[in-house]
Amino acid sequence: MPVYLIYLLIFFVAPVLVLAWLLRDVIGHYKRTILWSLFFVYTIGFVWDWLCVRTGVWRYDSAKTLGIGLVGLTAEQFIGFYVFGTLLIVGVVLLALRKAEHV
Amino acid sequence: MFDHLSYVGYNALFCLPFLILIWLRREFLEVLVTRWRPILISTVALTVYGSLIWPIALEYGCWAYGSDKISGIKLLGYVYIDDVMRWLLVSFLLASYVSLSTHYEQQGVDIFWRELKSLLRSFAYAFRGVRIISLERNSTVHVAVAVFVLLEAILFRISALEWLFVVMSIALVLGFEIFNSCVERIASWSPGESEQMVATLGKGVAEQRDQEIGLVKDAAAAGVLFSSVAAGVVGVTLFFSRLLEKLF
Repeated sequence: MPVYLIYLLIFFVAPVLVLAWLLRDVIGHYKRTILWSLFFVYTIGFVWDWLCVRTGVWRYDSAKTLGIGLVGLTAEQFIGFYVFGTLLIVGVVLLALRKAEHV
Repeated sequence: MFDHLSYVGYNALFCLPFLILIWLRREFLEVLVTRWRPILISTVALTVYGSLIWPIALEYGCWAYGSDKISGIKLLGYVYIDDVMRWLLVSFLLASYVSLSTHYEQQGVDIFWRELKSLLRSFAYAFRGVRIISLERNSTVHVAVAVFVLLEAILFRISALEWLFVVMSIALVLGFEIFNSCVERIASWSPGESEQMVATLGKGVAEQRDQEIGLVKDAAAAGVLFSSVAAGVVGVTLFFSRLLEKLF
């Protein structure tokens, strides 16, 4: 059963969709910020994740994931967490900046 | 790699250098301090949210930690402090970056691209500056000696630690020599200024200036001398005994 996928849907995808709706008038102005954030996560974040799996800091259970992976990382991690985890953090920051009238 | 400090260690390794890059720059700091409130609020909110949901993932087996790689200390008996630290650092880092980037993007500037281009340009200038070695006699002597030492190092098959000393010595001598060449050129620039200075400020002030410049040039040369002597000591220590062994 893809427990990790369900977990990501509930705790990351759903809040990101809410944030996207709340920030719908702002997102278009900060595309570069969002894209560069994703770039950092997919480069630095990937190396970090891979090192931690490689040195045994954490591991993924194939029984609780989709079973598709690369270098010890799961597809949910690559697509779900990297994208929606980043968008969640960026979205919350943009919301805070908007409340403070900086964006 | 770091045993029980592994998770904490990686958190620090992958976050702190980038935080320093962002917050230590005066230009960026001036922007970030005006946005400290949203940075703080979003960091705290995300840390709390992450700390609440992370144990749920662990509970349902989405991933598992190596028990010998984490601190094992739980905050309020619920969430590992390693996880709290991760959320705190990552949230703070991304909050800082987003706050900075949006400020510049409002002015039509892609800040990361601007910094990257500037860094690459610095490297290009530095590589172009290496040509000063071919313009000075002393520099070419140092390069010739460096090649001689490198060949000796290869032939004598020195150890990794000895290679470290050789490389550091060569780099220091060449670096100081390049710096010395720069100081000489700056100090010797516009010789006509001396005559102007004599005309406007008087002979005494101009003489004092010339003496000061002479001292600066001599001091730069002394820097090269010190590094060359140190490199010479390294060379004698590493190769003299080996040479004696081979010869006698």
